[in-house]
Amino acid sequence: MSGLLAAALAAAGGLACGGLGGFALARRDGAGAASRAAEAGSGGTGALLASLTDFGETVTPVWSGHVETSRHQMESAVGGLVATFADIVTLLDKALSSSRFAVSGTQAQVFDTSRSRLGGVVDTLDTTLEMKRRTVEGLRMLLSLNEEMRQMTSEVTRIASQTHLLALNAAIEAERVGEAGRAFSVVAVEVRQLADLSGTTGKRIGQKAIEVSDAISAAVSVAEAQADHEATMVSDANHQVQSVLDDLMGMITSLRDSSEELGHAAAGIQQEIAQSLVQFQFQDRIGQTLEHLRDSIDEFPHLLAAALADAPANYQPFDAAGLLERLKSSYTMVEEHEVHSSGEAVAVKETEITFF
Amino acid sequence: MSKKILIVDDSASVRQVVGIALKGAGYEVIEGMDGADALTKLDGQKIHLIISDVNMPRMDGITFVKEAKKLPAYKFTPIIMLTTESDEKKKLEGQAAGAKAWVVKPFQPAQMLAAVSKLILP
Repeated sequence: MSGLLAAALAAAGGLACGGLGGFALARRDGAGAASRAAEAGSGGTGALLASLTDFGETVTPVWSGHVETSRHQMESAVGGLVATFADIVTLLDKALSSSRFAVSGTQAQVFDTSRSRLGGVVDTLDTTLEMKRRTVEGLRMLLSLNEEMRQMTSEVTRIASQTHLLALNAAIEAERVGEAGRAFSVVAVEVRQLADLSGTTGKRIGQKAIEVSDAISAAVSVAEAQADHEATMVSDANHQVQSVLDDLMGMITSLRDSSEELGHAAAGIQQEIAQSLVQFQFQDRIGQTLEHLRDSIDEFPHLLAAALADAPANYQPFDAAGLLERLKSSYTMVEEHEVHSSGEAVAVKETEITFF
Repeated sequence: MSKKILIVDDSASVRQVVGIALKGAGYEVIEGMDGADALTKLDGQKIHLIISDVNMPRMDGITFVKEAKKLPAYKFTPIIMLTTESDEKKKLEGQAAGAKAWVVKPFQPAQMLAAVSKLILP
């Protein structure tokens, strides 16, 4: 009986040290064991054994349930956190990509293209202005030619006048010669008439030349005024274009600077999150430790039932050492072994990599 | 074209943590929830490296490695075991099965990436 009591106390001691309880098989086997334990003695031993059996049936399943529930809750919560952070990292990735695109050469290309196009517009205006200047020069040249022509018409008029005088003298000389000069007199009359006609025509041409000159002068004045106005417009357009380009460049530079700052901040946050996520590996480790504990707890009522399976006279010692050994054999982590040996909390080891 | 890595772990959070580290380094990642699920991913597609846990339901990591090595397309695919298991006997089992490296959790992304970079197929 003393061995039985020792086994029971060992079991109780195992519980006190962290051994917990299981449930399914305990409920199946426990009823018989409890009744047998109660029969083991009318004194304190029987009551202790009955209470231990009751402990296995009622307390250990609760402990095991809490362990399992905690493990699930932790797994679920950590999984959700990691998923959320993973989404944040993904979003930051997209933000970084957008930022990198924004601060890439694209903006500079857009700026250069815009400057080139606007420069093209200004060049077109310059070309138009240059054509206008040439037109004015052409008109001035035409004015000069027209003046030459007007001078030429004066010359024609003067020649016509001299021809008229010459024809008059010829007619006088023809009259003096008499009948022999009659035919020559007719010719002289005709020449004089032609000279008069030439003089009249020369004067008309001169008059027209003056009118043309006036018209060209007026056109030149208008064209010069337009050219001056357009030169001012082109100059203004150049300044406006340059001003717009300066503003655009300033905006692009500002946008690029802020995008770069944003990109750096996002990259920093991303690294921080990625580093933080590494810490969530604790869930996998703690989850496994809790699994090992749960399995050990679940084994307790089985062992107790096995110890109390036979008649009170044949009760077997509770296999606490076996329970502890099986718990130890379930460990996967160095820390678990260290805790098992020392009974104290230990720090997690650094990453260990072995290449084969 | 980015290189593809298969992550096999029954812990979704571990798969995600490893996945984030690998994706951040430019790798493409596919996942298997355990050894049995991961085997269905070995359907002939080009996989440059496998990272597998050891203790998993349905099919453990060591068995998975053995099964993967039986498939001609993945006979030479390097495999890294990523596990909380640090038992030397288990390591030897992993080596015998065909694993190229054994990484004990918790891992540091930089070290994991260095191991991946060292072993991954060209």
